[in-house]
Amino acid sequence: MFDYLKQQPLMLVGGGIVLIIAFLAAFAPWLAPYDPTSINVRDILMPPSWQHWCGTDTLGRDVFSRMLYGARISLAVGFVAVGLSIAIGVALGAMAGYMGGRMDTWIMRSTDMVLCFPTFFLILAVIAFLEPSIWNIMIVIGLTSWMGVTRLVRAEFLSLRSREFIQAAESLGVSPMRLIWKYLLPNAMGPIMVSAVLGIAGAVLVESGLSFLGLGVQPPDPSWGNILTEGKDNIQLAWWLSLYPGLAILITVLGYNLLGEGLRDVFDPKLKS
Amino acid sequence: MRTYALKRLLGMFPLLLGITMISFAMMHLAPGEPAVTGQEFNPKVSSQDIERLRSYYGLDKPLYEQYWNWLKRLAVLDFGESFSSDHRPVLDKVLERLPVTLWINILAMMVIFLVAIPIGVMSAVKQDSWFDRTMTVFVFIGFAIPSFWLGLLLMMGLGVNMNLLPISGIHDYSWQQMGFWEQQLDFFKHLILPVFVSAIGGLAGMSRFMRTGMLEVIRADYITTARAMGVPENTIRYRLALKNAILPIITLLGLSIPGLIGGSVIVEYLFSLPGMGRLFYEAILARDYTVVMGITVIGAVLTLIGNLMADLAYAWADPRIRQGQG
Repeated sequence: MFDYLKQQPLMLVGGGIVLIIAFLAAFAPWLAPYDPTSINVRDILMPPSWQHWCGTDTLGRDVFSRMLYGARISLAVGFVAVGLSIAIGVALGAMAGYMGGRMDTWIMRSTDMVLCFPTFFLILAVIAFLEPSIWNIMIVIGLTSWMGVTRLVRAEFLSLRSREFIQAAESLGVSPMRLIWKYLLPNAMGPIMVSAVLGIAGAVLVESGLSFLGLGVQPPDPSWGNILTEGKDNIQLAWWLSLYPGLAILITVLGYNLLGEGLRDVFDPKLKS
Repeated sequence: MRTYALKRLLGMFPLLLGITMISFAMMHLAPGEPAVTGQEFNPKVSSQDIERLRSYYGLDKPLYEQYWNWLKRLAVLDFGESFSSDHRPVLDKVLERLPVTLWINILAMMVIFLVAIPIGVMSAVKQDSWFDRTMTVFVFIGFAIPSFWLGLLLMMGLGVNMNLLPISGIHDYSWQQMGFWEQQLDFFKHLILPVFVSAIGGLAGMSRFMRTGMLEVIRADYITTARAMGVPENTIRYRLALKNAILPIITLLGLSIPGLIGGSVIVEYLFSLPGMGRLFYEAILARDYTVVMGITVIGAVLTLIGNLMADLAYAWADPRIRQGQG
């Protein structure tokens, strides 16, 4: 196993980062040196020190602790949003790719239409109608990012259907549902997983952007994005508020991207250039 | 070429219709029609606003009639009036903000095009060299870096600490006293950081794409043939291969438009630029629904136009598409 991983440096590095971030997020309550929401007026805007590794914010809260809890929120948003978008994408893509004909035309045309919207506008517009909350963000990101998965699953299904083993199963009278679940989907799983892992990276970026605009995770709940907003507001005073949360986003997104690329190489070695 | 252009142009109408339908559905299917009901207690929305919204969308009529009426108004570019205290038409508000957004996005696309292509080609030609490896690292970072964070760091480094570049707005406070050329220079100085920040994601994607495309073309049979015939290596790379590798880039540029337009919200917020993205952001905070809906539709239409232009440019560059064999 380890020898195999050594030949896949992308997956090794990416997977390592993903695991470390997941560990930090999962054990945030035990790892955080301070309560992420406890206000301490005597320690406002303290630069990084041994007491506060990443400094403190405008309310004297420990930035490192807030970042640990922020990891939980970012990952939760990423996973739920991607779960939703994969579910929608697989369902629509499977319908389009399996049924073909008019169904296919309708689904793919609708997908093209949604793709015309600048996704970030769409997300912001929906947030404007709802209220910004963690749940709404998860749902909205999920509802606006299924298009790529739909296209992918459809393409996979179309190419699989011309393969002999699928045609054999069809001619043996395997029911459509069984054909989709037992034959088509498992064989399309590789690309779906790659796009899920890359999707998490994308969702983390979108969430941080929304929170940065003040339309995502609302204070006092910590999020990497909303700590950066404070960084922007105090750009002359507190560089640490701008530096560390962004670094956390960069490393997390990089980790998922590398893992995704690594998985792609594993599933489709031909593409490796 | 002309038939192709006509065909693509006609193909836009169903898409346009679809865009308006989705926007309309978004306005109405959101739980409990939040644009109207539930706003009675929202201090940001006055009762006159609700009346105005009711009359603009004709909310007492059946849905299909509402949609049809709205569509008729959209057709003559009537997006309704803003909720804010000035009650100006949405279109006027958008049009006065649009130039800044277009400037930034067009410049960003030029930067992407001019920088990413040489990087991609060099990486492919010198595959696995130190240049290629460095660029690969940059590409991965470029993909993962939140653009607003990069913007913040640049603001801090170049703007606040070194005082080299302005970090907000599009004009210096002494703009009025400047001469014409000074004003232009000042304007572009204000755009440097926003354009760079907008371009970074596309830069990474495009150079990666160019590298892959170039590598594929270099392995094609006709290149091997050319090589066997003794065509000089530089001619092969920069004349024969590049021409074909560059084609898909046109489509990709078209596809990157929604991202750029969407990204303008964050860039304009960060650098306090008076563009469409900032207007959108302000409208969301103020619950100015007519402006939000107007900009959503306009943003989608701009994307559609961008895609159309990319397709036409592609057809112009590639005879196979033009003649319907593509």
